[in-house]
Amino acid sequence: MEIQQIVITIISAISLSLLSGFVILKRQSLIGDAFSHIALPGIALALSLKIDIFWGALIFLLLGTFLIIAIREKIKIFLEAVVGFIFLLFLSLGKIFIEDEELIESLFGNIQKATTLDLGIAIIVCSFIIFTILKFKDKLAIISFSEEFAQAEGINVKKIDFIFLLMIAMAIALGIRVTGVLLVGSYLILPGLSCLLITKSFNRFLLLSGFYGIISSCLGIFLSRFIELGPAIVISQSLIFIIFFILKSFKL
Amino acid sequence: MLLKVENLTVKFDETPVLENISFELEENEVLGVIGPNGAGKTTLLKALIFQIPFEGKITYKEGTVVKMVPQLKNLNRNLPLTVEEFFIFSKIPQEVFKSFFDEKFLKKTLSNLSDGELQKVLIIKALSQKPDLVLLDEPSSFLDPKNKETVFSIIEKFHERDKFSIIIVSHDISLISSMTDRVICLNKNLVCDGPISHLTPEILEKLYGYKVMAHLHRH
Repeated sequence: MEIQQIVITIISAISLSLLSGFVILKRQSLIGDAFSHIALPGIALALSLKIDIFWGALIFLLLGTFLIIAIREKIKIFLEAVVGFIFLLFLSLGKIFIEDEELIESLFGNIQKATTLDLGIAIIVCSFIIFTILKFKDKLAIISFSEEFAQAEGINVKKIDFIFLLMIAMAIALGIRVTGVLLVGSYLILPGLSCLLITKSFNRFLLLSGFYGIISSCLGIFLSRFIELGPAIVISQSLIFIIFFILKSFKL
Repeated sequence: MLLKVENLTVKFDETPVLENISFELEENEVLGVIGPNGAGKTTLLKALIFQIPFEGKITYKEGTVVKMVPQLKNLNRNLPLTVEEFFIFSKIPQEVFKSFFDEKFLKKTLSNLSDGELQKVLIIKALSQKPDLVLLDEPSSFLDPKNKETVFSIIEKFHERDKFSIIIVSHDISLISSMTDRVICLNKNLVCDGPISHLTPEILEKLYGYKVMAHLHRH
């Protein structure tokens, strides 16, 4: 792997890992999976227009965000079912429009195609996510504690929720380049799950999430000498989770 | 006058939960709210902080700061948030919360607190934010007698020093009668509104639909 691709892989992992804990606390663990599939027709569109797949994915992810928010306003119950149906619909659309040889690449990622422009985009998105999380840290914490309580505190929960989904959409669009549509959801589950296991303070939890992103992707990059990068990253994340789980179980 | 509620009606999917509620609250007044389950007590509090849509009119004196201490349910206790971080994120000055809790307690996460300890943290947080009105939703439901005494002596100390109004919703009629000058009875409609001494067994029976045994502190 070239240095540029290594940096993109690490930066994408940091962005997604930082958001992961909030996704778990909000009990929306599968939102990553749902979202990433929504990106597939966007990737198809980008490939046929010969533009960067980040933009195709991002546009469809933003579209999906608005769609989910709009439906959530109307149907308060059965949200999971609605999200599920939306992502299956988009997955089908993706399959129709995407060429077979490019399908595997979209599903499992291809970091080899990353360009310098991708590196620039990754740095901007990651900085935006770090800055936004630090800025809204207290509000995000109180909302994770209880949405009702946060509302009573005068926090604009809808606004923060929207910003949060926006960050998720951007981070997923980044991650798809590395692991592809199928595996990017792992980035939103394992880091948060692992870090929530062993941290006892919010600030340390955020810090550890960032480190988790760095360490898991470095380990993944090392393993990618033997296996493909996407699966390598998921396997490293799982290994770190197992280590954290053992630490927790034996109270080390 | 601090608060005026006129013809407040709240509907959930066209079904009224509260109907035509009108009352007033003076500055520094303590008001109790009682009523059976589903009477709309929590709904009333949520309307008072404009958290839910309603018909009618709720008017505060200009610049009124309202703080609510919600019921201890639907709270995500798995959050890795220490008591200290919770106070800092709520913008409470260090010297204020440090006067109530020691370092060891402040380093605990919310998930390690008992219900009573969490209730105490939430109440002290709300009272430290210099409110003009505090809404307490079932504040005693998770407290054992000792914690209840501690928490309510804290509330009384704050109340004597800072002078604010309190609306307290509770099933604990003896607690209400020990804390408040005035009580309103809710059962979708306003069933009664008056001094605690007017709360006769007959009114309670009418409100709850069965005989209620309660020890009332007569002021």
